[in-house]
Amino acid sequence: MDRTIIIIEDEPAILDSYATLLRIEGYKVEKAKNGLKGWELIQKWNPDLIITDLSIPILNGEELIEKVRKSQRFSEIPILVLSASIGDFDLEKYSRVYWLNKPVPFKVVISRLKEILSSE
Amino acid sequence: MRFKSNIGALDDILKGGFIKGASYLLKGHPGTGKTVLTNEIAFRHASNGGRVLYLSGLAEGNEAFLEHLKAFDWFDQNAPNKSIYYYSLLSMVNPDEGLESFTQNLTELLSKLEVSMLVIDSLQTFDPLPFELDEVRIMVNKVKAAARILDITLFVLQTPNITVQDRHQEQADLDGIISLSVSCFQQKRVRKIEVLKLRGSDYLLGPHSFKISDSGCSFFPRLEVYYRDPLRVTSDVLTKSKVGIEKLDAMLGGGLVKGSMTSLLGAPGTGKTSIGVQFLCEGAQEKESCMYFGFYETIQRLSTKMDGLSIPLKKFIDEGYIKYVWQPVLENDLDELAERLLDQVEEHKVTRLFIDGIDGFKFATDHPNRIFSFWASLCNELRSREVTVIFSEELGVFQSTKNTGERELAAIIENIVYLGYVEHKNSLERFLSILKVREGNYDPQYKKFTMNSNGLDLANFDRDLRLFRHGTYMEQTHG
Repeated sequence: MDRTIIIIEDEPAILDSYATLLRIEGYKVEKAKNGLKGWELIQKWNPDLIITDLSIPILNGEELIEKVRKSQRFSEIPILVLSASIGDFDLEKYSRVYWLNKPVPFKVVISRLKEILSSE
Repeated sequence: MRFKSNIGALDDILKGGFIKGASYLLKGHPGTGKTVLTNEIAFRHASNGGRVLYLSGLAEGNEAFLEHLKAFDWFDQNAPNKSIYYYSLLSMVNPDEGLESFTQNLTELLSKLEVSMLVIDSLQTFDPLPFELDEVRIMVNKVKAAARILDITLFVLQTPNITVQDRHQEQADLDGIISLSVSCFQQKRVRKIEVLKLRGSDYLLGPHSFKISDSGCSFFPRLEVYYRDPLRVTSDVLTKSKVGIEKLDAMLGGGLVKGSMTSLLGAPGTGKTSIGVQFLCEGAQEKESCMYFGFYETIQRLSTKMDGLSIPLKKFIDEGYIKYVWQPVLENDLDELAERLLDQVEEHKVTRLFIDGIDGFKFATDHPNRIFSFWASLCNELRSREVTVIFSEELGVFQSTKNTGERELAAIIENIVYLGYVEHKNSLERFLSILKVREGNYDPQYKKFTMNSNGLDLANFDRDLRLFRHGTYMEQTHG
């Protein structure tokens, strides 16, 4: 069965490109332009992995990660943060949260993603 | 990370080349060289292991298009369909499905072909199609995003279209905008490239010349910005280079300061070239590396003329001490001339240079107000390389000063030697005088200048001279 990935990114062009490329790689992809919509999709699709930017509207990346980890249902879902900077965000606070510094070539993203999913 | 074009000085204009994964708009009217340049970038990229997807909007088809490219030296018969993929842009766009479908298909193709460079040639292909400008803008932004994510360098070509508002480049928000054009100066046409924007990178400001020949594109950065900061610092020690005319060297206080610029200013036939060549032969005698850089006389004609004055030019050329660089004073490009000169200076480690003459550069200018800043930059660069330079500068037969703003040049050179004619009875005699020596004292007297089979020589006049009319000189008449 296809693995499901939720991707949350506020820049539509980047969001669409990631979605297309991840689908080419064989993943089922659901996309959201803000954290709130992302949280709704997570609840609906129960994904195998979440990809999110930190700077996203309504519910920002950090708030979304906090929400996901507080939920018993999603507390173990791996999360890949794609962000130019993590600022004060404390990655160590959460388990299974990984970070790649944007801009990052898709080859690096897909390689990391496969590595994370294979370790699950 | 940089992605070098490997096309001569283009990478210097871009201060290191294109940025890998960035997006560039190349804009220019038809015939300005967008397609040729982009294809050269593509082929050179492919020859370095890159892979290219080239989306062409040309109606003639890719086979006919490739036929045109075969004339270029960089064309590699094996590259198409192996490392450069030519696709018809129109075949990828289905007006019924919209540009969303085009973007998605293109993203899939980019991923499948694993290319590192993408060319869209050009945005005007979309003009006749029923898409709004906003749709095209969104499409370009999506292609840009996909290219960025896939680490692909994107080139979007655009021809300004008078029937469609020229808003593509402003709306598309690409990382770089490069303009190609053809500038006109009198009857002369010069190709120009100008970087208008380069996000996150410095570049050489302003327009620069380029040429397209069978060998491809050649770029000539504007000297004034290219050599704005000379790399080397000149020595404070003032040592002298003899001209090789004993009395002239005495008048100059022992010769010309090494690394200085000297103008031989004078009317035709007054001996400027002969003094310049004598200066080179004096250096060659001392086993210095010297160079003649001229526009008017071929090596054969000048050698014969110098033989008649006992100046052994041919001998020193044959021995390799004098490098002879000659080009006709036709449609030269100012920056190309400068590059040729500086390359030769560097290659042969030239310490003495005679430029015969500055008018060869003036004729090559593409802007009437440029010669001063150009010459100042060239002088600075030659000075920083510690080359002692003499150049000839033409005056009218009885003209003592120049009528134009070129007199400003006097401020940037160290020495001026003035040559002219004096009327005496029924003939003209040559005279030489020193107008300026920046470092040190000099003898300002007018001297009679002779050129014959014994060589070049100076002597005192046996009569007084006085200024006559507009600076011509004639014998003092008493009583």
